[in-house]
Amino acid sequence: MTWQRRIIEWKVILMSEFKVIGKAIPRHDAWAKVKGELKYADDFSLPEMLYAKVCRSKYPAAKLISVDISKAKSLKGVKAVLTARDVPRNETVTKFGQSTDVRGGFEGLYRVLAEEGKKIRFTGEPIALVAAETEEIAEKACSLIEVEYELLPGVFDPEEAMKPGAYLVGEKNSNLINEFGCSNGDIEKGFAESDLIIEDRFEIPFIDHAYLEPEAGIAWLDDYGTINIRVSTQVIEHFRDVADVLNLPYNKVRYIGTMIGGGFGGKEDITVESFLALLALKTKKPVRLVYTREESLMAHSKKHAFIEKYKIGAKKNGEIMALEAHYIGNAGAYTYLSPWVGLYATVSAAGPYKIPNVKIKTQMVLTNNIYASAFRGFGANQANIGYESIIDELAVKLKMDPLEIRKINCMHTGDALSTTKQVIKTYVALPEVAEKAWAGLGEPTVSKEKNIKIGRGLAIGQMSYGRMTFLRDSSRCYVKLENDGSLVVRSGIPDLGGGQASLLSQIAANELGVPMEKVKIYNTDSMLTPLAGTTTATRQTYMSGNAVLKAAREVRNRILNKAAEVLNVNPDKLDLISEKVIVKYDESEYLTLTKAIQACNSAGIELYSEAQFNAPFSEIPDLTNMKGMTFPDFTFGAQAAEVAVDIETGQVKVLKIVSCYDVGKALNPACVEGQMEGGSIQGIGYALSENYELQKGVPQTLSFAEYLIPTAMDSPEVETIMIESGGGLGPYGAKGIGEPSYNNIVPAILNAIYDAVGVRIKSLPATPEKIIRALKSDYFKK
Amino acid sequence: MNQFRYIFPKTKEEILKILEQEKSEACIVAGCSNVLPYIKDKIIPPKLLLDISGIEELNYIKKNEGNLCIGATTTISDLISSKIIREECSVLYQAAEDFADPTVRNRATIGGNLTDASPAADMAIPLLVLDAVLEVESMNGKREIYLKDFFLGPRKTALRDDEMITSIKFKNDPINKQGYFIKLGLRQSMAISVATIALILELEKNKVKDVRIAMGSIAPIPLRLFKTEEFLKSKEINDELLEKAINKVREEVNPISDIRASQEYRRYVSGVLFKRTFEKLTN
Amino acid sequence: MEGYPIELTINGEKICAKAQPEQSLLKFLRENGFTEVKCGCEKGDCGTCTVIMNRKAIKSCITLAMQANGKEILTAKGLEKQALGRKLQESFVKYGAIQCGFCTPGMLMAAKAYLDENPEPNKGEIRNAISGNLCRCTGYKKIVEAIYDVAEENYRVEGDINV
Repeated sequence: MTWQRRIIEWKVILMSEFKVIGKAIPRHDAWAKVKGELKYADDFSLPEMLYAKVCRSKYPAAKLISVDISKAKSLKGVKAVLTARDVPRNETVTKFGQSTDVRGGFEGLYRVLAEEGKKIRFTGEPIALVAAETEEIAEKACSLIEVEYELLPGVFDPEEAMKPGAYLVGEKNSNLINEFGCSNGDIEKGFAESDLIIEDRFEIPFIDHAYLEPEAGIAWLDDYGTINIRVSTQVIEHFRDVADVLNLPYNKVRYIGTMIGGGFGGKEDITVESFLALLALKTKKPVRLVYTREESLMAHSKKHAFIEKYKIGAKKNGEIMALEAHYIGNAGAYTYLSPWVGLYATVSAAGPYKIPNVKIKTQMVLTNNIYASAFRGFGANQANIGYESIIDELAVKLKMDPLEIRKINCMHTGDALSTTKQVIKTYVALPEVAEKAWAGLGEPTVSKEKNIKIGRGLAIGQMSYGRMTFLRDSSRCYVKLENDGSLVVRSGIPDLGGGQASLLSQIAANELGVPMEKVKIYNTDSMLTPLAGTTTATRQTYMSGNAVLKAAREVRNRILNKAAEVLNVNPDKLDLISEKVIVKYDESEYLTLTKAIQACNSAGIELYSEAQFNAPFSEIPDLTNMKGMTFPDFTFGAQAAEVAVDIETGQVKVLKIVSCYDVGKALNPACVEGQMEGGSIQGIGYALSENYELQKGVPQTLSFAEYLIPTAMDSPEVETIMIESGGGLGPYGAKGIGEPSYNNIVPAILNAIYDAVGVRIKSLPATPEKIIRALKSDYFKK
Repeated sequence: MNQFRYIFPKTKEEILKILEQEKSEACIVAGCSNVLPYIKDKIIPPKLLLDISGIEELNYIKKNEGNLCIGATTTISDLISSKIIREECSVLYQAAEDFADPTVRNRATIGGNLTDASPAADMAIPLLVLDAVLEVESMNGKREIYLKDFFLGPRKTALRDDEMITSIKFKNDPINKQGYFIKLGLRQSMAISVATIALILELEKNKVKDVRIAMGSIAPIPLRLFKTEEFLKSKEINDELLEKAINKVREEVNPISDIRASQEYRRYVSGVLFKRTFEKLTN
Repeated sequence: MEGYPIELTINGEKICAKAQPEQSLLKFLRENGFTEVKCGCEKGDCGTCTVIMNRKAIKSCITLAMQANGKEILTAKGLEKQALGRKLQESFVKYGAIQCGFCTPGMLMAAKAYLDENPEPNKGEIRNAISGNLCRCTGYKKIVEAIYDVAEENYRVEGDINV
């Protein structure tokens, strides 16, 4: 290679510094947020707007005898009071944003308001809606609604709910929603071949998303009588479900999604939208509804509580021979996403390990608690807590290092999941992530006080990104290069704050050599932007990232082809960098972007493209014995934690966390780090303090003073290690990180507690009291 | 009354006059950090909101004739920034530092915290070991209430409905410097306590000369542990004494179970908190 | 419903409006167009409503609107009128300290008030200063880094509003 060529190569590399992928660039919405200019769902008003309130059930289990709205209706300032009778279609089927109709078992009842003569299923179930001139009047009207209940016993524990003769939560003759099974090998033989068998039972409570922005939205009728709903939601495809409820054609209901003030799966189902649409249609005025924090805690979906019964068998050398797991998922009052969570848990139950004999059974059960639905981690998370705890116990009993046992048993590239036998074709970063996370803890902290014991824990896991493959998931995106070189991106993508919309701008900017300041994204309008699917299941980087890539590349090819003509070179010698079409290795030859655009315009070449990206498809597996592909791919990661336990009070302080994930490619490192740091801290809450407690169906933690999430003083600095294997299915080899980053941290902390004080917490959260009761069992026996 | 009203008096006399007229129809407010949530939850029905936060003469920290006097509307932040509080009664300073969170500390007042009379009242605990006395006024005159006699039950005090606390005072004894406070919560900030303790200890030749113990969140009211104090007085300090005292503490507290902790755990950890503060002050 | 007239300064501008006696400062601000002050819980448990009143960071949901009469309020929209405010905004953007952004206005106000009085905190002190402001997305690390970076050079310039 000549020295001239070498210099030119360096210059090309330097110039490609202006490319934006892989850079921690500020997001497009960052300034609007720090200036306080960004309007969330509750920050928007329209003239003559009314205020809505929801009247809710006081009891967890009752027959609704009657609802008397007369006093409420006659209160001055009240414009509408609605009950189930006023809802055109009060009962439909839950849908989750996809167009595919999945077979029965994956959909459940969506009931807008409780119906007279039918059973109320949870405390806080909506019974009536009020729209009034002020919030105070709406609240007063709610209190004037007279509801007659016939109290029923209810059932609150899922194991109780499965017993014959148990109280039936719904209209079906069983509380069992569905059951999943998965087996490989010969489980009895596996245990027979084991030198050591451990059995454990883990109990994981309901938890709340605790996003800082409560549910909110506003609905109005436009000039043509179309319902417009401006709402904080992760799924704008619900416009179809709301249209079903209203008995309107789908094209007459429009969702405008706002920047979401935190979702985590809690804004994945319909929250306020049906209520708003009904009231707007009835009053013909704009109507706004925002939940109080108490209402949000009481009445929106929770993360599934799980009972996990594990039995694991291993040889003396650490090789795991058999794993049996029985999960009982507490679905609460309505089905919602419970079947899906059950599927995820089943697929994840054996972790990222090669175990020859596996038997998994998952049952999702209705109870008279608030319904459980989507939450970051979605069943795979709960499974991870179980398998990483029991494997840690195995290591202890076998006197093995936590890293050692994982190295012996973990999967490698080309291996299959021990549950569904889905072969992982992309790079499996194991044991790499475990080694790096464990080493990342550095020198052990030495305790300076006799009552503080320090311990370390490790956990690894896999979590899918992209939706279940039988859903025919797809995403669409539109890219247009304007005449002046500015770039328009249009996508239905809901932005949760994880940088979803920004990422699309970044990819388009990268492909078309346009600086970020010249990219404008228009997003989240169900009618005016191409539908990009749900912001859930860690799918947006993968799906919408690929969609925008496809659209941007189409535009890029057209420009480069035209520029190739103008410059008289082969198109593969060209690149788009810094608003120029350049000839690689020859900086003297280039065409400005605007000139290239002009050339295209003159030739009638349109510089826009709308592209669709499709996820791979597979049939629904046999749910009694699940096999084959259920997800496009998985993200592998590990977290290591060091904790200090006060052996006199039981308090746990997390000193260090190291989070290591193969992210494929960090498209925006600051965003990826943000997900990892946030996921780890959210995990501290799950491990140590969060417990959405209900007593006989009555919620006990209805404020942030009782439902405790970590403050800045409870959070150590999380060290993040990103491995970029390039092996992801997303754009530029990226993988998803949103949910995976919340995996592994809980068992890492629980394992660290064990390491510190020899107490294995099997029932979350690991409160000081639980630890002391274990350490000082003699005292508490008295 | 079916609507709230608001008034912002300029002098203490005005306040007292209004209280005399309105009695329990008036609700004294200063920081409002408890009042507003109560209004939202309809625990406080429509009343006359009597805002005393503008009265300069109620906001002070000063020494006076061997006493340390704190005006009722002194904020928790004011306590933290006061050199006097930090140096002369560290147990109150420590409690102020652990109170709620910095933004709430900027508004919450010492008088308000006492009047709210939660069993967890973080200001009550150090003030109890400081043997604080409340100066209380009404149109009918002044009187003093010992803090140990002030709390009658959860959220119930000895304050009459025409009275207000004007100041809190306690003897500015050197012993006040030998104090230690611990708050046990489920989180490092914004935590309602599971148990709190304040301890003041004076030793003489390895014997307990004077000891004052107060605890919060372990009884219906903020509690002085007089029985344990009695037990400890004049005793020789050794491990055996500590063990016995820990048991006495556990016997004397009277906790309940709630969402934060069980009765048993509170009882157990009361002993631990006592041990820690005692060891801290005897080493 | 009747209201009482109050006069206050918000972000350097005089505002005259009516407030209900039991109305929180939060509701008053939002109803008067200051929607950058967020409502997350209305009980003083989350910090999204944090504003600066007479130089102190307070939770506006547990402060009466009437108590703001005659006072000076600074919200996130007023930060750009001061050098420290601008620096904080820039730093948050630069460090990627914002995800969903809902806690951001309150967090900025708590940080600003703190840095005004404590120009050189360490990270532990910063964590304490923002411990009344919950964040569910970021894990706080980048927020603390952003504040720490600004702490190292705290200054005022001509033309700053003095709140």
